[in-house]
Amino acid sequence: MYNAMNQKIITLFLFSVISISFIFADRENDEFKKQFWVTEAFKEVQIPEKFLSSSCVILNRSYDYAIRPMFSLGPNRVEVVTSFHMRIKLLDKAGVDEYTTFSIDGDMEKGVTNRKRGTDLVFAGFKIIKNDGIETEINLDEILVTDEAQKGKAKATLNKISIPNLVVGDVLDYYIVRRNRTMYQYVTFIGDANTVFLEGEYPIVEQSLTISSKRYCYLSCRSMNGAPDIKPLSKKQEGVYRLVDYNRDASKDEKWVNHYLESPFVRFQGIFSIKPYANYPTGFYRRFLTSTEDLRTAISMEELTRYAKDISTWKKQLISYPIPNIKLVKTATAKEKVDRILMECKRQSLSMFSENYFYSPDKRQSWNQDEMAVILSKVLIKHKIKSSLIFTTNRNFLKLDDLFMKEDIAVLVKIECDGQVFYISDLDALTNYAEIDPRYSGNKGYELDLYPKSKQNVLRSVTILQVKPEENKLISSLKVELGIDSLKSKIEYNKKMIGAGKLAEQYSLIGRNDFYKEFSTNFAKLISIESSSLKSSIKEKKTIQISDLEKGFSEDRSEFIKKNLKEEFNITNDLNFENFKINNSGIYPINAIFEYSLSFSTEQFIRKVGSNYILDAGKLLGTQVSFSDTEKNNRTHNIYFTYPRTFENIIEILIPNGYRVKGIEAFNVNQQTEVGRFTSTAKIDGNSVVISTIKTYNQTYSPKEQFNQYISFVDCAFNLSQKYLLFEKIK
Amino acid sequence: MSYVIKVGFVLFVLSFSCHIMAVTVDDVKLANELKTKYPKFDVALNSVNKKVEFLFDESQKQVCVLETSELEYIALNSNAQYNCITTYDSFCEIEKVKVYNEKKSGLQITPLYSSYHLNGIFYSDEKYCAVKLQFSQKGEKLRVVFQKKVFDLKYYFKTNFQNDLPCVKSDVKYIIPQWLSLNFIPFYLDTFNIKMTSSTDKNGSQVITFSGNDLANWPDNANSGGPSFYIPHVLIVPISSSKITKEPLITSTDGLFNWYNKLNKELEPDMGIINAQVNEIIKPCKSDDEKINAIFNWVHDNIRYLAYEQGILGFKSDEAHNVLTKKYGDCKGMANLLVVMLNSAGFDARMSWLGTNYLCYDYSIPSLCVDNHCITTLYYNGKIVFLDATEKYLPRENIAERIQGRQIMVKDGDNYKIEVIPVQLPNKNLCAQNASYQLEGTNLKGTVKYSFAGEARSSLFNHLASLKVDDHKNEFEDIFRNSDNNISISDLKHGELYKLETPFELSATTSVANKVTSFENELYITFDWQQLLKSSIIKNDRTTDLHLDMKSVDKKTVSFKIPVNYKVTHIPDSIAIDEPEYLILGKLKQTGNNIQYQFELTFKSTIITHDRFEQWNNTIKKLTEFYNDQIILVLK
Repeated sequence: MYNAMNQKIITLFLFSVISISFIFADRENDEFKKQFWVTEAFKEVQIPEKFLSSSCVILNRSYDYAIRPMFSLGPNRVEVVTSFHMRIKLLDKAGVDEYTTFSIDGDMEKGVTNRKRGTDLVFAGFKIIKNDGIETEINLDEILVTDEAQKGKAKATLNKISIPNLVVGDVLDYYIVRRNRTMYQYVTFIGDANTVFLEGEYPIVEQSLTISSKRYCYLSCRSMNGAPDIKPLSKKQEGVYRLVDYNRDASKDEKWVNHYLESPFVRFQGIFSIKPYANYPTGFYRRFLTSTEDLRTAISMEELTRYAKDISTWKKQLISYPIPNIKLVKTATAKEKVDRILMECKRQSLSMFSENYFYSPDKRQSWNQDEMAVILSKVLIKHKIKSSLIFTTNRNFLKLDDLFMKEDIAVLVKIECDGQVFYISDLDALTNYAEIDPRYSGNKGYELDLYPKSKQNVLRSVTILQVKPEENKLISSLKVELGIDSLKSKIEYNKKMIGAGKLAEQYSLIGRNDFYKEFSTNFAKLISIESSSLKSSIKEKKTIQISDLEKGFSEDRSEFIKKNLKEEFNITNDLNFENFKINNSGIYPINAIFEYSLSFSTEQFIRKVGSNYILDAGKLLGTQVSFSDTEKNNRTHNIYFTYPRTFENIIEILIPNGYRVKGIEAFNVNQQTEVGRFTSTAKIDGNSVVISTIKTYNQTYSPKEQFNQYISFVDCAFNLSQKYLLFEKIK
Repeated sequence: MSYVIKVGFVLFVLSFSCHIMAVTVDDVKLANELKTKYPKFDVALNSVNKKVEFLFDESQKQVCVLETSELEYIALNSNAQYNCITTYDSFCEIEKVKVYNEKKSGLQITPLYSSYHLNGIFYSDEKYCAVKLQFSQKGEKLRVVFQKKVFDLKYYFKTNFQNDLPCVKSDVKYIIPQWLSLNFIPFYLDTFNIKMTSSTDKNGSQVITFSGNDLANWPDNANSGGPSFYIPHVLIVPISSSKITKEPLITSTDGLFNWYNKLNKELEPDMGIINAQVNEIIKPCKSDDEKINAIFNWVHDNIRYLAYEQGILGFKSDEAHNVLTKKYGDCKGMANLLVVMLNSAGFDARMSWLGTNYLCYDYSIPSLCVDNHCITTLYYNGKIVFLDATEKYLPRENIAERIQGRQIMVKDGDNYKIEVIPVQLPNKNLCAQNASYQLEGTNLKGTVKYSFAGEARSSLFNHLASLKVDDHKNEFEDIFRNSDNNISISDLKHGELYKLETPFELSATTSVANKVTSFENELYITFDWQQLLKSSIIKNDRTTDLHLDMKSVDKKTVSFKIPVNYKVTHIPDSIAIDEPEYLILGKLKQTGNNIQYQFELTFKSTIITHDRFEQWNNTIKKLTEFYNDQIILVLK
């Protein structure tokens, strides 16, 4: 998760330059040079003693973000300037290696020749400060290699900078500025939502973030997890805000961490809009574009209510998709009606976004949450289904109290029928609407009635249902037959999954044909080539095409299964499986269990020792998480999981004729804590050894003080996974 | 049907129908056959037709080469995609890129031109031109035509006959005008049944054609050495030209050296800068030996290797004073700097060119492709010392595996000498482990000591230097743990980092869990949990030889103390396998109240040839059986 987070920062400020062309316009660069090295030059700072053992120390770091209209260049131009300026002390070889070279890629940018109006320009400067204080500016003309592939053709650029004479002990001071003049397509330009973490790979002595805007621009910004507040710079400089921060330790990477909920960061966004219109696709933002003069740091209930009502009352220009016209049988129960509405919408979504869904995962499309909420609201109100909208946040990213920009609002549709409550967050083909997306489970939110409407019809606080560990369950069953002579184990494997976590496997294992069969069996026929009214010659070709694609999918699935089995059981040799069967797809609410089975053989588990045989029975549990001593003894972060969960293993091992089994007692363990547990029971049942284990993670969050509790049951499972059974020849 | 459904349906149909092309039954049959043979591929090459013309550029007075490649691709699956790529650099340009469908209509596909990112090379001028091919149906064919002009024959030295895709038919035709004479040196053509024919065209030009059928894709096996070891190819070497060229053609090794020497002689080092630095370095030195070491070590410690290949700079070294002041350079720049610095200190050091063991060629072939590296040769006290400035943390007496046994072209004024770099013994790269354990509960507790020498040490030092200082401890611990969290480490101690005079030593107390299992009155003990080479079975479909990084010796001596109330009932049998390429010895022996485990793995050679894979796999199976066995103790 932290990597993803770092990626975001990098995307914005540092390596954003990678994706754009790199041009040095001397005059403007001189202005930036003056700005960063003279007028806004970093002040000297003292390195705290505690930072001196680090590979590098960031002495000063500044991020600047500025948004303004550029009417002088045309009626539809917005300029966004992002700059990154850093002064870093390099204290070891690894540090020098990291900062000796800068690689900057370009893409097929065509607008670069018109520099004044060019869409993207990047400026940079580097200087080295030696221990004796002598500063040397790097002459980029001498060392920059800008390589534009083939002149006059669609091209990309590659820019390489190698900093000369950089040695351990030096300070490198550099800036990279990206000036982007976007031609926006709609009346409102929505800038990217940006995140800047105040902790990073190296300790930081002093850092700042400055954001600014000019007329018609709206700025939102909020400091999270104890990051200092961003404040107006001065009365003279309206629209300029700055945050200053000191002495941040380097961030430490650990298992089970969520830096979004723990580490200090600042999130911000710039939006340009002459007048907030209610048009697609930017109309959903209009309720949050209230003042260009104030920095937005929160969303008011009034704004949220107006946005909620926009969705629930649907203005035609807000979305571009038609509302499905669903006819329901009057005598149907509420549950039957809900089934039909949701499956019909799912069917429409699939038809709209074509079969690429199954064969080109990167091209998967669906309605976004705003669009889904508008469509469902209209249909549910029309059919008088008890329902409401819920506005919340992604629990893994932001607390509800920290909500301050439209970008981070999650919209769910809550439907109640026959005593059941469904929280719909998407209409993806494979998601089961009877299950709550773990990102929202247990969250706080605000609710607005769709049908029936209450008298006041205002937002009220609500808590989304919290899913229990046993509702996110994986059950793995193995029946193991030992080939004593061949030293091969034959294993029948069955896996059942319910709740969160199953979707990733469903995507890789359920093909178009599986889905169509399941959908048609449980609901209605989907529009497909087979049932279309295309010309027979075209239909024939398309049928062959789909058959080929399905074959390709089947091969990919086979590789996926092999890879998963090898990882799960740490199998290093080649592996083949047979008899793969999806017993239940888990996509239809009637039975939410995703279940499949297969069988495979491996030499991995059994070996001969003297005249006896040893079975790595513990390995049949699958790979168990473990921690090194360093990780156990130096926990610095609190503990986060995406959802509570339970893992069950049922392992049945047939005892070969003429042998008796020893070592069963090691498989009877029980470690229960507040935060989770691991229990294993083993017994001889007829001519089999049966080992049953349960591992449960109860929480989504635990303070780091409870880490030892995790260690106790996790270690217990890990140790068990290292245990053997002995099969001794009966004399 | 509702409006929505209709719209969806139309979109759905359109998404397929726009790509429908004329595909014959035979095309589909061929696609099916190819798919059966090459199941991993969605696209194959139906034909490669390459025409190579040699022209004389009157304005530049150079022999240039015009290469026209017609590549016909066939889809083995519906919706297949393929990025068709050709590379180019500063010495050539792409003149034409066209894509045609089966109706021979040109398609509007914009090629992408971009830089090639080569692993380990900071900057290269190698670029690629890519055309994205999108097929809708199985059996559909698309034809791509690339025309590339190479400005100087010197840089057109090789043609590969294998591609990244399997190929049904390949024809490469060289049209050699009467004024030019070329030699084609074949590699592995017989293995792939590629035939050469010769004829004369109507203009009197010689036409040499290489034809091959049913060529598999080039292999994608790790540790195969360079492509010159396994891809069928020819090297193109000029013999003579009746045209007067600006620069003489490279027709002999003398010619190759003369060109290198010419580039080398263009260098004008600023001796003021060099002398000042050298004087400072050798100031404290009392002997010539110390001076050589001091200069060699200074270059190692202070000059960062940065591979740089751009145009002529791919062959010509940067100025020594530039490398010295910038503190980085490529192998040519570093070798040249070392030459100039050693010369400045009064030693006879010379610039030298060579091909590492990544290449299969030697200097009997006069071509730019036979070398890929530069080092410094020092003539000192009647001996030849080969100094590789890029091999950090490898002292003077150690020679890196990649250059051992290789021919080297050593500059000797305006002449050259071909020397051979000596081959060193595996025990130069020794990694030794000594450990003694005793049972504490069901844990094994004891001290472990490692010792690294030669390239085993330099690999470790290079890795450590790439890590942050605060990550070193974890790295050291992981040497003992080998990512096994059953092992706890304490009392970690290590020798001086980056010191090259003695082996690097590392010791710790370890507590090892879950390697001893108690079954009633018996204890089963795993005696080797590191298990070198276990699971190193070579897959049956590997077609290339296995190339190892270096010759080496791994030695392990482990002592297990038998608890007083137990006696030994089973000790695993010894293993002893001595093959030309490797030696494996494993032995457990009870001595008093100890069991001594001794293990040695020596790689005597760095190449396991394809015909030895079966033997190798048998060895691995025996070794795995050896590791799988356990020591059994029983309560007295």
